[in-house]
Amino acid sequence: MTNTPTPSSKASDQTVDVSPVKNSSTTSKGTKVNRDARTKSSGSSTANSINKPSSAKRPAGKGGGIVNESPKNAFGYGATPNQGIALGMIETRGMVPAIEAADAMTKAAEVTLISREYVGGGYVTVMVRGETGAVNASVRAGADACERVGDGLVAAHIIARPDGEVEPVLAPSGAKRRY
Amino acid sequence: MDKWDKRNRPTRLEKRFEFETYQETRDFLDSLGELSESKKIFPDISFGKTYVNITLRPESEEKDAQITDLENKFATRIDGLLD
Repeated sequence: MTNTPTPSSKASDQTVDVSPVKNSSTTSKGTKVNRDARTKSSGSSTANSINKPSSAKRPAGKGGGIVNESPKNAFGYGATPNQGIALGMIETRGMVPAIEAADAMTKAAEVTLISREYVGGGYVTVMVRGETGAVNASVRAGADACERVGDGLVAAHIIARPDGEVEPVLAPSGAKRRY
Repeated sequence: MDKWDKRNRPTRLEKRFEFETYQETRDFLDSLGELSESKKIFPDISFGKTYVNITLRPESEEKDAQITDLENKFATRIDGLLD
């Protein structure tokens, strides 16, 4: 199988700083992490997720992050009709506190988890959108949850009214685990 | 309205609050959340374990919007949360 460069080298098509995992069992476990992000990908996507982007099954412009399969907004990114515009972000050191934060955030208030990013150095950022009050409560709950887990909370940030020009940045890049 | 920095480009009020423990930080954030809900003013908030940075922007979204009494009073109320 050859990797033919695609005309548009989107981040979602790129594997960043990772050696391809050839063990199918390991890979299948790895893809389970992104099970919800891959749009109903079959088990045969195991190899595809490493060597070939399942872009055909993913909404256009989407990466490998946790996305909401919903009608796209004016900027081409998934947004529910009732989704608020406030943005909440939590950065953690490690994946475990990030998952804990994401779980707590989505349970605490009516928010949508829009992205999980590996930003390098073991840091993970999770982002939520929703009404401002909900995002406020959500981020606080997420910070509470992850603060005691592992290396825990690095930083949290809430933007009540992000500018529209920021929207493209909020989409998951699809970058895979970075070391 | 002690020690709020008025910044330009764009116009905003900023202040950093420091705390000894995460519990104090959280208590302050909870109080701030309740205040925001009651006044329907939601500043940008950035926090870690022992600090909170608050940015108050003008309610108007116009390009040259200025800080008004509304934001100034809200800033004073935020300061009052520590009393």
